[in-house]
Amino acid sequence: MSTGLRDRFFALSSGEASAEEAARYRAEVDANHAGPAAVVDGLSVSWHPTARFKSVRFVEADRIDAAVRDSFARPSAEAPYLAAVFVDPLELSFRTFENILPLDHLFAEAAAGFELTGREEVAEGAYTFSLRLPGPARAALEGLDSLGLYVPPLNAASRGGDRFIFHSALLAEALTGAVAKALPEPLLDGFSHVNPVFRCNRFEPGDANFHRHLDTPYYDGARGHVSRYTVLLYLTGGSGDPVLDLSGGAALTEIAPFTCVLFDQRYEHEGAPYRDGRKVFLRTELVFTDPGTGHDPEIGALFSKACYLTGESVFAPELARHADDYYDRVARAHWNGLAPGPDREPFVHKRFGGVDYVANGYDFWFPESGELSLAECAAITLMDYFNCRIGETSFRARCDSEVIEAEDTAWIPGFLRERSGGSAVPPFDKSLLFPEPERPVADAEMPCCSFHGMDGMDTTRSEEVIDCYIEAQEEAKAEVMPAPILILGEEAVLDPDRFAVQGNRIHVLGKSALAPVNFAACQGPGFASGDFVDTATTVGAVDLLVPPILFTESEGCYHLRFDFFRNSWTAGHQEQTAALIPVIRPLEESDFHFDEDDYYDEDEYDEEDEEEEEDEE
Amino acid sequence: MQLATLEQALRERPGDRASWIAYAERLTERGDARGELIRLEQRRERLPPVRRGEAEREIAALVEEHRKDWDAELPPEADVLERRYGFAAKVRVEWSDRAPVAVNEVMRSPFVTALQLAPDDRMDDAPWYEDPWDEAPGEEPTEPHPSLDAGALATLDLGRLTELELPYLRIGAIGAGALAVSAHVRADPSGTGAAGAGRLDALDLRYCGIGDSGLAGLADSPRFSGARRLHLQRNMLTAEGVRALHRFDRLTELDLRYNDLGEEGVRALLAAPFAGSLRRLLLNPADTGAGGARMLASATLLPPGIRSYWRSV
Repeated sequence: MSTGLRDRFFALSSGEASAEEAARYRAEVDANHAGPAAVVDGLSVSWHPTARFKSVRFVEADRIDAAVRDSFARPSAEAPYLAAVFVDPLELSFRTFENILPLDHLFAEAAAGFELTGREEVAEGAYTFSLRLPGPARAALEGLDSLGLYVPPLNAASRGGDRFIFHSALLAEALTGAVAKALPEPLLDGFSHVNPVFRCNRFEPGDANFHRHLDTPYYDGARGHVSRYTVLLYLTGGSGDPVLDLSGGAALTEIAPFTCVLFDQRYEHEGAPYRDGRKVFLRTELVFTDPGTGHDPEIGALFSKACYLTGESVFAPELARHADDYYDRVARAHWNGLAPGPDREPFVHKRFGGVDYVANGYDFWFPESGELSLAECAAITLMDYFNCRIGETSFRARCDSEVIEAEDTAWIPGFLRERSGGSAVPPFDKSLLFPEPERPVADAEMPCCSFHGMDGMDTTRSEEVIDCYIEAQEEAKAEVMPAPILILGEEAVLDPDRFAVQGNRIHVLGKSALAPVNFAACQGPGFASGDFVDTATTVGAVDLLVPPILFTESEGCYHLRFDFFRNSWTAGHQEQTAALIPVIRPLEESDFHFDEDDYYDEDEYDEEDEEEEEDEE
Repeated sequence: MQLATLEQALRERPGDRASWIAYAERLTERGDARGELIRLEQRRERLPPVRRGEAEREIAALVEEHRKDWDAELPPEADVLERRYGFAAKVRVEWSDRAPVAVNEVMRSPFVTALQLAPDDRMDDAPWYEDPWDEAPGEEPTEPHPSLDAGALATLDLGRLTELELPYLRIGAIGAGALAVSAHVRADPSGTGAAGAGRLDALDLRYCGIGDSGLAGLADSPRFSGARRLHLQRNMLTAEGVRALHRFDRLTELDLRYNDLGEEGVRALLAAPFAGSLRRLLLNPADTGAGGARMLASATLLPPGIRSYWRSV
């Protein structure tokens, strides 16, 4: 049945199914409550849609656990290394909202000899070109549409059509060379490259317009990179009224295939489907090196809020509108400074465990109470921001949330005072997971097998068992000890020593590199010292390498401010890894007994016996 | 102040810097280099870490020059594990026929407050621990016999100790009783002297085989029942032993691993007066059984971190 659900998803996605058939399929999906098959990028994934795993995305198949890999569909014949996985939208965070596909291989033989010709300035800072390119490259680009990789866009409420995002350094490099030759000299000042992340958009006649908007500029503070021009590369031609409208600039009504449009990102613009035929185009940006680019903390805060509200819109769809508005304001602010926003802005009141707090994605307010430490406030902020998985459920899905729109923040202290304070992420002494091994008995040797020398053997003091125990402990410690937050089953705990408060900053101490932990205890008829080292529990180590969290205390509130993006271009965050906590187990009765079933199949034995008897006769 | 009185005050308040300086003067008057060592170490502690190098070199040179002489004040059976201003603070004595004499000599060193009595390799080379499969079904495990003259333990003068460790020393229930007798015989009725109730802070009896009855004997002694940290790994303890633990009402750290407590033992543990004060509790799921693990996972009086751990196993 699940195979059917998987395959029918792709059959129905072709759009040829009747409404009844689609409704019947959705009902079957809603009735399917299968659990996850694997974890990829910190997301639980299923190989078929279920009531929980409804959002399709594509990942490189070799990143899926080999034991279940073959169950996942490979819907694209041209990119067979990509497997379709279904994820729980509640688990998504800003790190995983976008599904960027690696498609460089499509252009391995075809990304050279690009040329932009016929430059026409259609408005100030807006140009059209015709892209000339060799046949194989043209075919590779035209083939993008038929890869079958489209997924519903994140901002489907404000735009029509389908979209997928891909990365190709080779395509970007070929376009970079063409742009460098074709742009007017003054515009090339500081030009660095074409962004290798492309959005492939498809619109059918009758689809909703891509409503008037500003493109969010690419920004990399660490490298001093900022985008100034949008690049649209139309892979199909057509006409519209208009197809592209640059407000206050030009309106393009006729588009020939492989037309390239470059325009200043200050242009607000709107796109429309072709009157006839499919419209397929790529969007990316021209990136410039601009050492003078600064960072306005307020813009960073607004961008942080926008990302947060995008995530929260999964729970409260009305927040998508606010998120779009924030993105738009950020884009405008990039060119013109931050303009005043609307009178009211959204906040989310959340309750996690026993803790009530208010957040907007940049500011996080907690009630000051004896039970709630600053470290706990910081831990909750980070788990919310990154939507960490706790056991089988994402942090945000574990919260009770309500959206509150307000004109300012003055109401928050009183609001939180009225709610009972509690604790939800208790401190944890990690040394409890790693008791010192006992002193080994001198010169004690492991028995040769389970028949000999087991009497009186004490696994907890066997030197060989202890060596295995120490080795397993060291592997687990490497993951557990640096982690500021641990996930124990369905609960989160924190290590107070990994949260250092200095002045008005909370430094969260993490590590930069992670390695998987593998420790396997084996059980067999014979035995080795490792057989007596078991797993007591599996601990999730949430590793975070983040900028300091700023905080102030006022009116009975801790007010934390966290802007991951301001410094994040060189900072990393990785979802939790699992560490197996070892324990030495004592001898058990089964260690002494020889299980005949392990060696003899009774029927087989009888048959052999009978055969021997017959031979004798 | 009499020297002995000053020493007793320093044993009771080892952080009293002014008294140490007063003591240093007395030592210097006697030509004891530890007077200078006290001054050097206190000076080092006042310096910021980056400027401690020279003081540390001076200290190391002084210790190197005199350590053998200082240790010669102890019997040859004693190994110094920790020092305070050059004086032995924690000492290890390997068990032998002469150990009781050696221990009582060690106790004359002015600042020994922690003692470890350990088995020699011969005593420790063949674990004798419980072998439940030798017991008939339903038969209670027998308590192990001590591998030493347990009566000798009753002769030890351990009154001033704050830490007592007998790891892997098979004293058995008889030995535990002898320790309790030792404390009783030497108890200061006023409770305020060196053998006053509650002085002992840490007791390590791992793998001693004291059993439930041995633990009950110690629990009856105010000298031992005031301990805050208790190591009791592999002592054949059952729920009955855990109930005896209730008299250790100041416990904050408890290691009960490798004792087959089962659900009943966990129930007894959670009923203990110290259960709500435990900061550290070491047990394995094999010790508690599934039912006991569930009880720990839902025990609201335990610290949330410990509870979270048991919910995850």
